[in-house]
Amino acid sequence: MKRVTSFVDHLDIRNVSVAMTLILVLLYTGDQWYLKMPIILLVSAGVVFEDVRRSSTFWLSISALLLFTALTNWYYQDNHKYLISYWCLAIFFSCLSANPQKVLAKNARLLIGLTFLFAVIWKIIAPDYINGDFFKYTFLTDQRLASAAVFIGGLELEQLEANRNARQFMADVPVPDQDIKVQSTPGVDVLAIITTWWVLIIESLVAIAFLSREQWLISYYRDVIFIVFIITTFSVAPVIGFGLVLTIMGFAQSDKEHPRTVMSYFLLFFLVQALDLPSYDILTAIGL
Amino acid sequence: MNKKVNLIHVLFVPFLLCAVAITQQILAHTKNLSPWLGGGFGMFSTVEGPGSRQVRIVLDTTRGEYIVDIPESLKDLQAAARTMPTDANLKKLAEVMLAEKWVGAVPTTNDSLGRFMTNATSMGFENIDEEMQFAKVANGDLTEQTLDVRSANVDLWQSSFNSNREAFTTKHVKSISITKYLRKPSE
Repeated sequence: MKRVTSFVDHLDIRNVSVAMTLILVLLYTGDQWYLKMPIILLVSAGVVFEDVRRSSTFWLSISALLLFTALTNWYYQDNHKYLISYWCLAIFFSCLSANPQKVLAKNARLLIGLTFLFAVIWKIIAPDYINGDFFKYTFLTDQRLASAAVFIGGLELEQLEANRNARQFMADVPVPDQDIKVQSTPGVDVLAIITTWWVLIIESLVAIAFLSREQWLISYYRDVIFIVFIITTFSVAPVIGFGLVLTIMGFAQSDKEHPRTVMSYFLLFFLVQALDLPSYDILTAIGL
Repeated sequence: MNKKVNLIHVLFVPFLLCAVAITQQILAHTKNLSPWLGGGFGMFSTVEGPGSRQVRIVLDTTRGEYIVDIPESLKDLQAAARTMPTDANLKKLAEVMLAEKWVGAVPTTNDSLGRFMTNATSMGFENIDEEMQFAKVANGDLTEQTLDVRSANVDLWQSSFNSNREAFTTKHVKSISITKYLRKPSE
């Protein structure tokens, strides 16, 4: 524990958050030519020169590039790309402030809370989430969740492959008034219901914990809840860009008075990237 | 040490997130924007992602109807039409398709039509191809006779998952048709 405390004591949380964000921006923001080249040049300058990465102009440029790309590619831009843009803009505002760490922490807390609030609202109003249909469909067709579908749901890889082919068939040229059967197992039904409610409950808790007043009891447990969310979610569904931006924001708002929390986020930054395993390919390779 | 912070520095970005997310909610409920996209954090909440929507284009030509494989250069327009299928977005896609030069095509394993033919057989739809003709962009190949296209029809389909029947189903949502020129009465 002493080692952890000593390590955390020497950490400049804002500076490390900014360095982590440079890696995030470089690796997980997009492949468009008008984004990639300027980002490579900017991030290279930011890595080499500390003054550059502390500059508000630097972060405003990165934010502008990311927001421009998100808005011009709105028809296929994932939500976490928007969140990364907002986070870079938050770093820009922290550069303008006399108290950059506090500004960054407050932005991080609000961004996490609001992201989860809107995610929960969508899950409640969507017609096929609460009844478990969405996760049943996802476990039966999404190869990113193959390991859970196979090991917990008891689905065979051949069944998953057949379901994916059926979905592709519907996507290529639609056939009206025809049922295309999918292959399922009772285990997938149970897995879908448990996952549906687990995700809804933990996302609601994250939203409440991060948006509530500091004096509320749930606010005290916000980091535990959030870390549990990150580990359980991204070990099953490795959307690494999303996992990383959440982890960095969690780290940026963590308090040195709780060194184990700071250390947990710090380690999660590496763990989340290590989760980027092609589980479907691995399962296929080992013949499951 | 306990310096005060400027409220704009703390609230501007969260306000921006809320503004985009609320706009996305409004567009999703009024313009059929996909819940998965647009910055509203509706991912992993519904089967109805953009992947569950299909945009199918049929050209009406003097040699009958042709289903087209949308070329790579027009994939962005197709994505926009699928993500937010307003009449304007579908019409724009139809107009661009109408402006292209088309030739008859045999589906290959590299295009969506070829994948469809392969999958159709494996799914038990052996007779599905009997009346179908396919077209692709001419690519300046003068040896092929270009099709005389009279109109382009853009159809939007939505596939859904019926958990009780454990099956995918597809329903037609809407169509937009753009005519190049009027047919002669004798045709």
